[in-house]
Amino acid sequence: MADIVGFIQEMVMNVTIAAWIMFFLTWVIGWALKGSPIPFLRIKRAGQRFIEDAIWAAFWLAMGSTVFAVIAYVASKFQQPFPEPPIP
Amino acid sequence: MEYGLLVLAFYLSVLTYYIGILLYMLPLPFYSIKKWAPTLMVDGVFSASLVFLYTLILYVMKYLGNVIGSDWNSFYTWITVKTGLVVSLIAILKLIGIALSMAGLGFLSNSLLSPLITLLTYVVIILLLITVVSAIIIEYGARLIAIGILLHAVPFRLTRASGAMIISMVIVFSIGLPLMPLFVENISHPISLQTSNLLDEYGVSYLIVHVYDKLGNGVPYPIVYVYVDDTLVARYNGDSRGTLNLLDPNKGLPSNKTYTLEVEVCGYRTRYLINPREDYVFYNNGSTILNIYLKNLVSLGVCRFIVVDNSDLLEVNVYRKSSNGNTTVFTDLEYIFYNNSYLSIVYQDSDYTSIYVNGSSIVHNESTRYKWRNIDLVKQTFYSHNISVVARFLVSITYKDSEVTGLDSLGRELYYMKDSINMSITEPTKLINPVVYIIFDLLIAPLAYIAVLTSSSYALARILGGAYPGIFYALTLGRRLR
Repeated sequence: MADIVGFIQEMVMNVTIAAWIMFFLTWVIGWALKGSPIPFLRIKRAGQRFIEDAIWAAFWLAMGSTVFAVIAYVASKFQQPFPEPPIP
Repeated sequence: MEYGLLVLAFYLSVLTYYIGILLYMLPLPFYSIKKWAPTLMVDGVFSASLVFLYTLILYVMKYLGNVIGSDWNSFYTWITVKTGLVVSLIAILKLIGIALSMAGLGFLSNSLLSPLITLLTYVVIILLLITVVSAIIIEYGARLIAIGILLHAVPFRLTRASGAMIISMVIVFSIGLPLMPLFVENISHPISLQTSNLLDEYGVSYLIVHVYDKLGNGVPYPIVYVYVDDTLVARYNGDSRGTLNLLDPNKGLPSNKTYTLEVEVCGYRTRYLINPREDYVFYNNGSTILNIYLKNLVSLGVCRFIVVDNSDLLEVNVYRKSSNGNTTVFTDLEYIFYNNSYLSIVYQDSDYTSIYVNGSSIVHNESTRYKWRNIDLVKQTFYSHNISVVARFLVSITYKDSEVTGLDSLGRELYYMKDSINMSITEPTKLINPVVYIIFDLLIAPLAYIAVLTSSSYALARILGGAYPGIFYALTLGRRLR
C-alpha cells in the first residue's frame, strides 16, 4: 500500500511540475498567437483563450494545497481528519 | 487497512485534481478534452471531502440506525427462527417423501413433495444469503466504505459510479437491512404450519398390519389403537381377514420411536409395545409389514374366540363344518393352566354352543353378556381353580351362514397423518398453503425489501457519484467516459 501511495505522490509531483511547465508553455503560446501579425481572428481568440485558461489553471494550481487544506479543516470541524494535505 | 485505503484515496483525489489542472492548461484547442478539466477538479475535491468525511459517514450510519431502531440482534433472531421453521418443514416433507417412497407411492412424493422441497430450499438459500450479506456488512462495512471511497477517487471517473454504489449500498443496507423483519411482518400473513412435533419425533411409515391369533389365522375385524405418550394418535379398523392397509398417505404409523399399540377384538383388548426398528418387516419390494400375534387368543370367527391367560396350549384342533345353511366350528383344546389363570369363550348371543370341559358340560363358570358395536355377545369364563391343571375343552359353536356378515361399523377411524399430524397429502392445498405463505413471507417479501433498499442505494449513489449510471453497468464496468 505504501508503495502505491509513494507512486501516486510521485505522480502528483510530476503532474504538478508538468502543469507549471505547461502553464508557461501555454502562456507563451497564447501570447504568441494573440500577438501574431496575422489577420485570422479565430487564431487570435484561441490565443486569448489559452492565456485565460493558463492564468486560471495557474491560480488553481497555486491554490491546490490550500483547497485540500480547507477541505481537511472543514471536515475536521466534524471529525478528526485522517491524512495530512499534501504539499506539492 | 481502512486507513491505508483512505490515504490512497486521498492521494488519488489530489492526483485527479492536478490532472484536471494539467488538462486545463493544455495549449491545444481540443475542447472535448479540455471539457474534462473542471469535472476532474471538482471530482478531486469531492473525493477528498469523502475521505475526510469517512468517520462522519460511519457515525451518521450508526446514528440513523439507532434513531430508526435498527437492531442486528433481533434481525438475527428473526432470521434464525424463520430459517429453522423452513428447515424443519423441509425435514418433515422429506420424511413423508421417504415414507411414501417406501410404501411404493413414490409418484406422490415426486409430483407434489419434490417441487415444494425445491422451493423451500430456495427460500433457505435466500435467507442464508441475506444472513451472509448482513454479516459482511457488519464485519466489513467500514472497510467496504473505504474501498468505495478509493474507487470513487480514481481519476477520470473510471470506477466512480461503482465506488458510489458500494458506499451507498453499505450505508443503506446497514441502516435498512435490520428493519427487514418489521417490513416482512407488517405485510405478511402469519405462518401457521399447524403440524405437531409428532412427525419430527416419531416419523411416519406406510405399511400393512396383519393381526393373527395364536394359530396364525387372521383375526376378523380387529380395531387397532395407537398411543403416543398415552395420547391416542391413530385408530384403524381391520377387515375380515385381520388386515389393515395403512398405505393411504393420510394413514401410516410412527416409524422412529417405540409406541403403544392396542388391539381390540370384539371387546377384548390387549396392548403391545411396538419398536418400529425391530417389529416392522421390510421387504425387498419396498413394502413394510407389521405382524401382530395375539398369543392369548384363538379366533373362531367374527366375534367368536377363546382367550386364555397364563397357560400353555398343549393341543388344538379347529375344524369347520357347513350344512343346511349353518356352520359349526368345532374346537378341541388342551391347556395346562398355571396359577390364577382363566379361559374365556366369547361368542355371539344368537349362536348355538356346547362346551365340554374334561368331558363334562356342567362346569362352574362365569357367564356375562355384553353389547359390542350393536352385537350381543356372551362371554363364558372358566377359572383355573375350578378346573384341573390340565384341561381339555371341546367347544362347538353353530351359527347361521346368513348371519355371517361383517361388522357394519367399527367406528370412525383416526388417521395418524391426516388427523394427528394434520398433514394431508391427498388434500394438496393443505400442504401447499403453508409453503406458499412461507414463499411469500420469506422469499418474495424479503426480495421486495431488498429491491427497495437497492433502489435507495442507487438514488444515494447518484447523489454521491453525481452521475446517472445504469445500475448494473455501474456495478460491473463503472461509468464510461463522456
